[in-house]
Amino acid sequence: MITFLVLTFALIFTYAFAGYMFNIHYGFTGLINLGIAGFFALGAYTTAILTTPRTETTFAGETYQVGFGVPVWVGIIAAALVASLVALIVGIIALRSVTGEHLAIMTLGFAEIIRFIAINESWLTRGPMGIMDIPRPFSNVWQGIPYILILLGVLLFIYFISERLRTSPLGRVLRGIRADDLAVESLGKNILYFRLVSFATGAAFGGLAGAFWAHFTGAIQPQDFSTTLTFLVASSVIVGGEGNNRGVMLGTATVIGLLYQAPRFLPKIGNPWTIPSARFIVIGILIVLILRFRREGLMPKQLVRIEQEES
Amino acid sequence: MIGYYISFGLISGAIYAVAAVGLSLLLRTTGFRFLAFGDTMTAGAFIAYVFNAQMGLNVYLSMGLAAVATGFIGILLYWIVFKGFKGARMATMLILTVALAFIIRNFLLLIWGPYPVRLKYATVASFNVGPLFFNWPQIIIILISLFVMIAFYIIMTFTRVGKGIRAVGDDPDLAQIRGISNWKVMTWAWFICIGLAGLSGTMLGMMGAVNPAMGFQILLLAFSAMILGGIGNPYGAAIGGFIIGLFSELTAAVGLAEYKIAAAYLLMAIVLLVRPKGLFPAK
Repeated sequence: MITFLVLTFALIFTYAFAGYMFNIHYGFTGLINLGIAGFFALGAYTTAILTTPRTETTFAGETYQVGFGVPVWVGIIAAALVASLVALIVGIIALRSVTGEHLAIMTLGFAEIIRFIAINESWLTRGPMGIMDIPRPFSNVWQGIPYILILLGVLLFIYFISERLRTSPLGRVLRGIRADDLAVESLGKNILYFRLVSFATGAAFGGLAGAFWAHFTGAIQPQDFSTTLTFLVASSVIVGGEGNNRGVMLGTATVIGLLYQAPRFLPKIGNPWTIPSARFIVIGILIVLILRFRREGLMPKQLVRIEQEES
Repeated sequence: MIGYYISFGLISGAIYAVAAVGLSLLLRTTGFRFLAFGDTMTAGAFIAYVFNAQMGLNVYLSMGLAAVATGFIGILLYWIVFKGFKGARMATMLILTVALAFIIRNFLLLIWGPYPVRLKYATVASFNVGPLFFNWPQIIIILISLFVMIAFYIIMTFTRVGKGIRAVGDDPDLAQIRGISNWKVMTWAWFICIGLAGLSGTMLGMMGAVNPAMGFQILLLAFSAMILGGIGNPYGAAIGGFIIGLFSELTAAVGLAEYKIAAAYLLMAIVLLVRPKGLFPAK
């Protein structure tokens, strides 16, 4: 039971990190990033490759050497940086060429390409086997609860940054871009620059999500980072209320905790895949209903008070 | 050896072309990108499986029946879901179609389970057509694809329904004023587009196995084909389909078989950088 709760909280917290990425991209700036799984995977693989002790594995006649054994915190910071940097590159291609309307398709393709690389470049990622023996800090102390507390701390930190971003002048420009990009451009703001800032900042949170998840499970495989992950994170944000930083937490707790994890306690019906697929149908229908009848989600966007400047 | 890759590129190109035409017409009439398209393709393949393997009908007859049945799914989607979202933001529609994709995919998983199934038809030996290699089912698939293109052109150019769809796609309000019932025309448009999805799905199912996850990769390839061919131009999308099919198989021919799908995405990204509206944009 404790193990289950620890797993559920780890899922909720790390998915909430990724949720903040989607919130900054979509909720603040209106960029539809469907490559959530890609940034998650980048973070997870970066820290896994850096922090895993150097090991040699022989599999199917080939020997792979993976791992540099650097400290965990270096790996986590590197994960955020790598995700940010790749987001800049993707953003320059996807946001420069078009007005962002292809971004959804291109980020979806980006996540798939990351997955192909993880599957095929076995010299780096050990291919479909995935990377095991990733260091798991505090995994043996009190059944992993200290690590959950660290995750909670990071969540509050990310919440704080997102909240600052929302109320700052930068956040105001981003919301302006979402509402009417031409109007903001006509005020002399460089839209591409602000979109890239939003894209790279958010992606850092996505990278953190992947990194902390990798250090929680200790083993990652390419198929962990499929569109299902993207769907769950995006759903959480939509359910909670896009653009609302507290809504992200509430939405993730609802979707991941209640709809994704809790069905494990249901009695077994039908085939082994009945309940897992039924819960996705339920989440999907919930999203359709929310978009139809309560667009703002569980917690509507708060208005930002703009302080009058004394002249 | 290169002939083998080119023939396979033509076959997959024929399949992507049908899908891209449906996707492109849907974008033009509804104005949004339908991300559940790949999963409606899978639905078509499973319906064909029911007709073909479970009820014992001929495989080509089941393809046609499945295409019509999937078309009705399209009508249902329009009536139940999309009518309520008239005038919604592009972002909302994208998220909505992702949610629909997961509903459809998991519904198929719920019914048929995760194991791949196969359509039943007599496999025959390949033969040479000049430097290329084909077997009869593959030739029939390419012929069906070409036939669909021609039929699509005739429907869109000469029939009331086709003209109505183009009119509503260009300007729904103007069409309404001129006495074209938006509701009726959109119902037809959804039937045709999702019917094309079902057809391309069954073609894909004939070339390999049918499983609930197969639609997703094809979704991105169909989008690549559509964007490559030119936004809002179904004929360009058809050409884009063949380009994507051939390009990805030629990537395999130079020894990068693992990356042939990634190569198609990259081609799309490069084309978007150079020609943001695709190769043959609509006027």
